[in-house]
Amino acid sequence: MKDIKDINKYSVYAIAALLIFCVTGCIKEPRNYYADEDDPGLSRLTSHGYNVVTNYINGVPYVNPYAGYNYGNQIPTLSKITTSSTYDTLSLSWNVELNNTAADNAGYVYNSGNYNSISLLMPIPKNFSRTDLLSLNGQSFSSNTDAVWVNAYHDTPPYYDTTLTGVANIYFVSVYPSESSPSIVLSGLFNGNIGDSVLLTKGRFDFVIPVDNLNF
Amino acid sequence: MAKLLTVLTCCVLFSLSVTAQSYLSLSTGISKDVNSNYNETFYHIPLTLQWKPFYSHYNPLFFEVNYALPISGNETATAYTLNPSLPPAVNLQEQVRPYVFTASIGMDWRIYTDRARKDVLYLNFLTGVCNQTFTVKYKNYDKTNYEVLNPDVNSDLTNIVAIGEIVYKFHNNMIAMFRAQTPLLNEYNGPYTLSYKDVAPLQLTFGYSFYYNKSKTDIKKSKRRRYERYKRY
Repeated sequence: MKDIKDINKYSVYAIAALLIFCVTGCIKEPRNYYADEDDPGLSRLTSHGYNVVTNYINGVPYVNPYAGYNYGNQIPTLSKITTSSTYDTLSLSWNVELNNTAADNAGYVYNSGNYNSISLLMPIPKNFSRTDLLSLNGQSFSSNTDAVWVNAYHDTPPYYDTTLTGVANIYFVSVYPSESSPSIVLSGLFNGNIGDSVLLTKGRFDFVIPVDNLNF
Repeated sequence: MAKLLTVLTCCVLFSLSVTAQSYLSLSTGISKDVNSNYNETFYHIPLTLQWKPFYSHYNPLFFEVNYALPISGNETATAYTLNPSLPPAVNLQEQVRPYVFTASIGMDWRIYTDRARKDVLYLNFLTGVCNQTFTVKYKNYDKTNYEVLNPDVNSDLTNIVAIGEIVYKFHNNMIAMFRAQTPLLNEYNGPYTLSYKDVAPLQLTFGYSFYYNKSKTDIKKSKRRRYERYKRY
């Protein structure tokens, strides 16, 4: 009888410990999608480091995915790609998914030929540094120099992924170091097109990128 | 804040006042927000209505409604575009207007009175519910081509507030009131960052009191005074 009491006592401790772990260990990261009242398919243009990017591809709203309870929105990859030419390339890439709520509201008919990632590519000097990244604040890059890669997939047979390449315009409206943690907040606008078949319009991004993730 | 509310509640429950006339008073003036860190301070024109329905010495309870009409609150916002035929960035005037409505209940303490009882100074404490509705507008905003960075949006906040007032009643019916209200008990803490905060109005108002019921004690005192004056002559 005493053993049963002990087991019950230990169970209570175990449940209490589990609850404490859950309460302290699980912090819900917000979706940080704030629909623009004038354009509900897009999140507002912000520079708060919300890690949200929205745009239209051929008139259909896309957004970066929500990674989960503990992670929040998926963060992009910002990296320097070394090339053999005079300039290296700065690549800003992120995954995208249909902005379902907005697409539903717009009466979008789901079919094959969706897109799952976007990359913006900009030419940069070989000695491009983090300081140079901060000096992009207020700068825009035109489609004469910038490229856009869009990764498209077909979700009906035959299943395949393909990378489409086109031109892009990018405007970094705000770039600043975050005060709370060693990271850089990048916000801006973009658009682009891949020939006449794929049009990226009204793109807005607000990213916070940890400096440890940078390769320059 | 919680402590302050507790103290105020205790004061309301366990205090007595010597005020002894029913009245309805109306006052207006100017109000300044002392809580916001917004670029341009919010100023309001307040309208305060106070109603003390009880004339008894032992019931200093009164009601108040206060509505503040906003008259200022502008800031410069920047909008951006990728359209190469337009300027890449333009400044816009952002207009934020907080409409503040407060309904409260409280008590008054008479802390000074002259011999003729014409000039009286009161100290009032109240608690109530406050609704603050913020409307945001951007002037000359070309929504087709430009995007405002970090746009503010409309919001509607309601919560408990505490109020302190110093009221000077002079020439029998005239009132001058200095009124301070706390920010909302639970300030806006939403996930979306706004550039404005809830309003804590500091008001200076002038107005008029309509007395419509005198307490029996006051009437007796008044009669006694008249009788003494009569005896003297």
